[in-house]
Amino acid sequence: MIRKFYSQKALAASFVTAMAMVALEVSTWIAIFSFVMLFWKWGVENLNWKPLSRKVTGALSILLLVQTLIQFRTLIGQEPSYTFLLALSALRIMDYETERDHKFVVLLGFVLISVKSLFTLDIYWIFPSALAFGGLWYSLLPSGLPARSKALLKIFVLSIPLAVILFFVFPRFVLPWAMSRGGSPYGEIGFTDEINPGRVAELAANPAVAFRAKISDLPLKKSSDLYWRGSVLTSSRGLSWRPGRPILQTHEERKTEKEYTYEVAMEPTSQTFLFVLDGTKNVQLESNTVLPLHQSIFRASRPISKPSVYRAIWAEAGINKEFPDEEFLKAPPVQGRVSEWVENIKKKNLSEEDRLKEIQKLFAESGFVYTLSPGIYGPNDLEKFLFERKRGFCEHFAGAYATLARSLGIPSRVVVGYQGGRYNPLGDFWKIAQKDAHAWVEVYTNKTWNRIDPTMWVAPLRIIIGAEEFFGLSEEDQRAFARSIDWRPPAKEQFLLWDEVSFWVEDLNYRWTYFLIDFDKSSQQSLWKSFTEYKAGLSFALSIVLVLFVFIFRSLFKQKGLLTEEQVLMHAVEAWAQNQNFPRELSEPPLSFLERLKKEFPQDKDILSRIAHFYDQKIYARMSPEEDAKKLLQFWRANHR
Amino acid sequence: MNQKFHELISEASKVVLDKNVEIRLAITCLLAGGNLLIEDLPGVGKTTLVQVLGKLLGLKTRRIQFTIDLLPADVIGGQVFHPQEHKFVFHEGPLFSQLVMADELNRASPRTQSALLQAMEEGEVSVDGNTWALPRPFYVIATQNPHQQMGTFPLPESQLDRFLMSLELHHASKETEVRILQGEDPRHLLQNVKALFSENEISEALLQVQKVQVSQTVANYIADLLEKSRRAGFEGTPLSTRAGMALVKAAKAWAFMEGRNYVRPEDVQQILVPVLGHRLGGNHGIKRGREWAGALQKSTPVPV
Repeated sequence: MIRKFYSQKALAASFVTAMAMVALEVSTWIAIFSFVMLFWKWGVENLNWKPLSRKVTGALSILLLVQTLIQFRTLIGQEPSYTFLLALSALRIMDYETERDHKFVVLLGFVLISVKSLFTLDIYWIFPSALAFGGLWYSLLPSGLPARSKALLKIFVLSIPLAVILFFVFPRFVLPWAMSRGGSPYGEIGFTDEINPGRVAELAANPAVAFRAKISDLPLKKSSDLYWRGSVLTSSRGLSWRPGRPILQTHEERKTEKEYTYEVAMEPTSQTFLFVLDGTKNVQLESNTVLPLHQSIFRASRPISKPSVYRAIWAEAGINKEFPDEEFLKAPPVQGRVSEWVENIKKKNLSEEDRLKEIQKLFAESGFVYTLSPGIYGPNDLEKFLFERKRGFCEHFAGAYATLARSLGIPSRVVVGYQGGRYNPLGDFWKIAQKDAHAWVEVYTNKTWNRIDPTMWVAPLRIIIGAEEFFGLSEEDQRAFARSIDWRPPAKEQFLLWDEVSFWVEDLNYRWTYFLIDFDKSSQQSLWKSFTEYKAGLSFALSIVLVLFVFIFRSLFKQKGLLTEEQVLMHAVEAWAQNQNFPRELSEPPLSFLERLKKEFPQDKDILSRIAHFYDQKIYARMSPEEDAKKLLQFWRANHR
Repeated sequence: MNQKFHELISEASKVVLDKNVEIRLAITCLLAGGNLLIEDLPGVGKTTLVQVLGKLLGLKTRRIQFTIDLLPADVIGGQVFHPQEHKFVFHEGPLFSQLVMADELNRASPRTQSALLQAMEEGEVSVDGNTWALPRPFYVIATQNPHQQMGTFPLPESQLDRFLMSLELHHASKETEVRILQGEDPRHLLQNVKALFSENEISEALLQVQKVQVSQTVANYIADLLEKSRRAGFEGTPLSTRAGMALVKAAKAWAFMEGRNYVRPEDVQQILVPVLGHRLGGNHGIKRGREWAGALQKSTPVPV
């Protein structure tokens, strides 16, 4: 019997969905190829186009394998496997004709979905994946089944206990290639601790989530207070800065009145940066050692290759007080109008505070423009930036500010990291995206390092409303609003429905990622440990869960529990006959069936007659037979296994 | 008791050759108290069958040949004026007998057809405001030509429903035909056939048939059959509850013939096609209906 792909709507819809999800990850040519194949198949089935023969599709699949091998030099890894799988799927659809093809296509669909979820664990993909998965299962069920959806539901419910057991008990393997996220040759723009002009601006175009933080215990409530330090840059080349050599911090015990804890859930970066708030004293990361460095920054000992959660301890008085050495005054010699300006200030012999105010004046009053596209600057184009173009991004302001401060003899350094974030009132956490990347300055005055954000004078709105809202404005609006500090973000009641929905999904995704996906070996072990600790309560809870499951099962498969003895007896005989390749046809009455069995198996004539007689008496004649069902069953089972 | 009916079958099959199954089904139908519809071409032994059954059962048998100009009064009878007594006297028509053979029923006009069918349903006839009871037991065995034939008025579905069973009489086998062609005509035996039953015996048998038990499992099976016929995708006319009751009646009679006082699913399957054939077929004809009935039986699981 020839089967048509597109006339099986559930199958076609699910498979095309699965292919579309994977097609997003591969190069355009292969995506286009696949969908041309899909369309062609549609034409073949509906418009009588000429199909490709199996020979051609076979040759094509070998060609594609070769092409993939040439392009990537391997089949292992994200993109090559996606590419080949997608091409193969499209060709199999072209071949789709028989029952066997159907099974193969369904299998391919499952592989497509699982490959996608191996690499992308976001909950957004769970919805289409689940739909496609259900559809594929649906198409596997025989079409003659009257209640296919109900059967599907039964299968799903049956699978739950097994899935739960596997989730909690099954040992976890870490597949090295499954975890190589961001391993594509181009890579995503991520955080680096070097600011060349334009580096942070690149990040600002990326809406991907960097990390999420729960800081509800802290007295910091406004996004403008949240400066997430990632790295400190100490060596200046004018506009661009570089980090110094990392030095391990010697252990020092500082007494503070009150300590607070907050949690950060980081997306994998393949790097070691840990982002912490000003005043963080200590950081603990599960499954990875944390190295506390000089200047209150923290690094993981190994690159963060999977979503990880770290806990940090924060104290209000925990501002960094390390004494700055000579290094913090080194600045490249300033030239031209910059050196004129510096000499001018130096002559005035001002106090530290007033010198800083002079720099502030320069930034606040000479008409700087905060923009993502400031044009290209060289590493030491300080003069061009400060006095000619006056267009820049946070990194330009921070770099220029710190260089000027050093030229005026004030120890200073540039800090890079993230600023602000978007608060999710539903999940009570802050979401910090890549576009929140920021650079600011710390200067050493009054024997402490103090934070100064030059961007605040140029575009206060960026800090107050956060990067997400700010870059959502048009460039004119950005310029017009940039200096008006009165602008307020909308109050909670004014959130649009869309905001609510996005918060909700964001919250769900957060929980999904950090409590389900990352339930790894160590989480399993700690769960089992906690099991042994709370024996009494636990066994109670477990037994309740068990009883609940029994109830659900019984309600779903009721008829099983209500079989009469005669039916059990008859089922036993039927099951045995089935094993002997002698099944009862559904429309065959039980007694005729037994009669047929008697002819086929003369050695069992006696017991079969007894069963037939018993059944006839009990079921049809409604008399109480002289035989006992249990004894008959025992007798039957003793001889027929 | 049922032994005597088996005797009847063997007696009848001496006269009507090669029709054992049909004879048995016809007797089952009569035992169930139902009327019988026989559809087949002329010349396959319909009339002989009815005559021999009537004789063996000891029933008063009449044959009415239906034609297009037959009027209801020709069947029922009518008031005739007696000049001596100065009053109208009812003259009974051929319907007033115990076994009526309505030959080629579908050649009559619908008006005449319905007069007969009403008599079958109610067991009495009304003429000019007077009601006359028909004798008991009262059976109608109607024959009809396949409905594609010229000059027929097909029976509407509601009237087909009044027949408990429909039968097809096939052509005799070649051997039998050779014997008949050589001059051996068993029909002359008809003269010598003697009644096997008294009227009391028949009503006693009818009573016993009614007492046959139907267990819940069997009732479930019949209900499953009805339900299956109403599902989307099934081609035949959906079955009514009355069709289910007909199945029960006929199955009871079959079980009685088997010498049992309870029904098995096997009994239901034996009478399923004759009982359901004309009901499922509707205006597609009995032949198609019988095919659908077979399919219905094949696709309905027997509950265990």
